[in-house]
Amino acid sequence: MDNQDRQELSLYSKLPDNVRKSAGIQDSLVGASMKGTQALQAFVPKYVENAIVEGFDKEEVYKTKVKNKAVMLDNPPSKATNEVREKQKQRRRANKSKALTAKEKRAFEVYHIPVEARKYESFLPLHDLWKGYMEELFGPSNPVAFTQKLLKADFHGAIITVAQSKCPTYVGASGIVAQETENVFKIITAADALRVIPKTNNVFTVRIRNSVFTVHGNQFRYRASHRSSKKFKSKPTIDL
Amino acid sequence: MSTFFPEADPPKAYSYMTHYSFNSPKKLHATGILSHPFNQKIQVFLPTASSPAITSQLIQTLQKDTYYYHAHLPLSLFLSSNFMQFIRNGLIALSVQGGIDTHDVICIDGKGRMILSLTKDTYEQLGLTGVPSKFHPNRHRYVVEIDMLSPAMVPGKRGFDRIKWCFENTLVTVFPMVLASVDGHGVSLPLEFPDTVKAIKMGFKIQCTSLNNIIIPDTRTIRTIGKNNLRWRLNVSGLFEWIGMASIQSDRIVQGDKIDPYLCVYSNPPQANANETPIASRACLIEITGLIPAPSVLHIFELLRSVLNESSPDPELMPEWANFTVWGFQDSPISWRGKEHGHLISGENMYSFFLWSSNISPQGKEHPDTGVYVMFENVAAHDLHS
Repeated sequence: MDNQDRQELSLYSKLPDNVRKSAGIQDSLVGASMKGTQALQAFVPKYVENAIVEGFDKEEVYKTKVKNKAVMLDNPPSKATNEVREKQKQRRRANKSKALTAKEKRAFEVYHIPVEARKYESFLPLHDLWKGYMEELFGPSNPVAFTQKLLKADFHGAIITVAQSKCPTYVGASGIVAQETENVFKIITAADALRVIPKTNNVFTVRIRNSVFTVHGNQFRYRASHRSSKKFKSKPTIDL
Repeated sequence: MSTFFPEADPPKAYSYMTHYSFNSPKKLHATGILSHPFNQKIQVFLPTASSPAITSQLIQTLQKDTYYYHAHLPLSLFLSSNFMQFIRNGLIALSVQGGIDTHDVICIDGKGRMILSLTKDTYEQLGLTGVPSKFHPNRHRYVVEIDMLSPAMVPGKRGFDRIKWCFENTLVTVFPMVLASVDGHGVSLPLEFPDTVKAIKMGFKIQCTSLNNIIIPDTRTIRTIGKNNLRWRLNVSGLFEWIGMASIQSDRIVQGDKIDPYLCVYSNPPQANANETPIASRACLIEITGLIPAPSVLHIFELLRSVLNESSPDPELMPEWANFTVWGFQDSPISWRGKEHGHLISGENMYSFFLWSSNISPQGKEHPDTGVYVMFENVAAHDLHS
C-alpha cells in the first residue's frame, strides 16, 4: 500500500535520469502516444545499438532485424487465429453430426427393412457367410466348448427357431436373422415375411453342424456388440 | 399342482341332491347322464337275491354291441379325414397315462371338442393358444380347447394347418388312450385304425356279487320331500353312505356285526320297522367297468327302469327299488357339460340314482307320482360342475 505513494516504484513514474540521458528523451514525451514520434524513432536505434555486443555490425543488425518491423511484445489474441478456431469447431461439429442420434435414426427409419427386400432367397448368401464364420469359429473344438464361443458370436445370418415361448404364437417361427438388437431378433421367414421376435420369454434353437444349440432368450438380452465383450456367468436353467 | 396341507382346512367337496320325477317333461336324468361323457364304472344295487333274468338281460345287451378300444395314438391321427368323421359321429377318447394334476391329459368329449389339459412346459412348447387352468392360479397348468366340428377345421385353412403342424412337430408324444364311439341307442360303432397303430378291442367287465345277511334300510323316507328339507338331505346322505358301504361289501352292514365303537361309529339308517330287531336280507350288486359312453349308460339305465316296472311272476325276485351309481374317471379333464375337472386329493366325479318300482305307492299321498327318483351328484374340490 505504501509503495503506491512512492513515486519511484510506481509503474507510471518518471524514468530515472541516467536512462533518460542515455536515450536522449525529453520529459514531455513520456506517457504520450508513441507512434511515429520523432523521439521514439531516435530512441530505438540508439537502444538497439547499445544492447548489441561486440563483434557485430550494429547498423546492419538494426536494419535487418528491427527497422520497419513490428515486434510483438505481448501475445494478444489476434483476429486471424479466432477465425481459424471457429472454423475448426464448426468442422468438428459437422463431423459429429454425421452420426445420427437414436431419435433421428428412428425418424429416418435407418434400420427399417423395406418390404421388397424381405426375400428369404436374398438372405441366403448371408446365411452361407454365417455358416463359413461358424465353421471357422467351431474349428476342431467339441460342441460343449463351442457353446462359450457361440455366446459371443454374431448371429446375423443364423437360422433360428423358437422352440419354447410364453406366447404360443411364436412357437415354431423360424428364419434367417436379419437384425439383432438388444431385445429382439428380426428374422426373415421362408415365406418371405419379416417377424420380430422378442428375446424375452423365448427359447431359441440354432443348428450348427450336427448339433442343436438352445439359446435362452432371457439371458441373451444384450446388444451384439456388448455381448461379444461380456463375461457370461452360468445360471441355472430357468422357468419362462 | 396344488399342495395339500394336512393341517389346513379340508378342500371343499360338493354334493348335489335332486328330487325329481320321470314324468316331468324336463328329462333331467337323461340330461345329467348324457352330459357326463367319461364313465368308468356302473354299479347297480338291487335289494333282492341275484336275479338271473336281470343280469342275463344286461350281459346280453352289453356284450352284443358295446365295446371300446385301447390304443397308443399320436395326436396327429385325430386330424386324418377318417378320424374327423369318427369325431363327427360322437367319438370319445381319453388318455389314460398319468394324473390330471401332474401330466398331460387329452380327451375328446363326444361333442367334437378336443381338450388338452397340459403342464406349463408342454403348453409353452406346443404353440396353440389356451387358457390357464382354473385350479392352478399360478399358471402352472393350461387348458387348450379345439373345436373339431367348426367349419374352419378343413385342410388348407390356416388354423387347421397350424394345429396339424403342432401335432406333427411339437407335441409328438404317443398317448395311451381309450376310445369308444356309440350311436344314440348305445350301440358301438366300429373304428378303423391305421396299420401302424396297434389297437385292442375291449369289452366291458361285468361282475355280479350277491350280498347275504345284510340289513337293508328303508328307502321310502327319501321318496317324498317335505318342507323339512334338512331332514330329507340328511336321510339322502345317510342312504348314499349306506350304498357306499354296500358297494365295498363292508362288514358294518351285516346282521349281527359287533364292532367296537372306538374303531367305527357307523350306524345303519333305520329300517321301516325301526323298533323291532333288524331283519336281514339278501341283495345283489352288478358292476360294469370299462370306458362306458354316456348313451350306453342311459341305455342301461332305461333297461333297469323297465325291469323295475314290469310285473314279474316271482314277487320274491322283484326289487322294489334300485340304486344306479356311475363313477367318472378321476383324471378326466372335464366332468359334466364340459366343465373343467381336476384331481387334488380325490378327483371324485360320480352320480347316483335312487329309483323305485312304479308298482309300490309312496307313503301318505293321495295322487302318488310313480316316477319319483332321487339324483345325487358328487364332485371333489377341483371341479367346476354346479
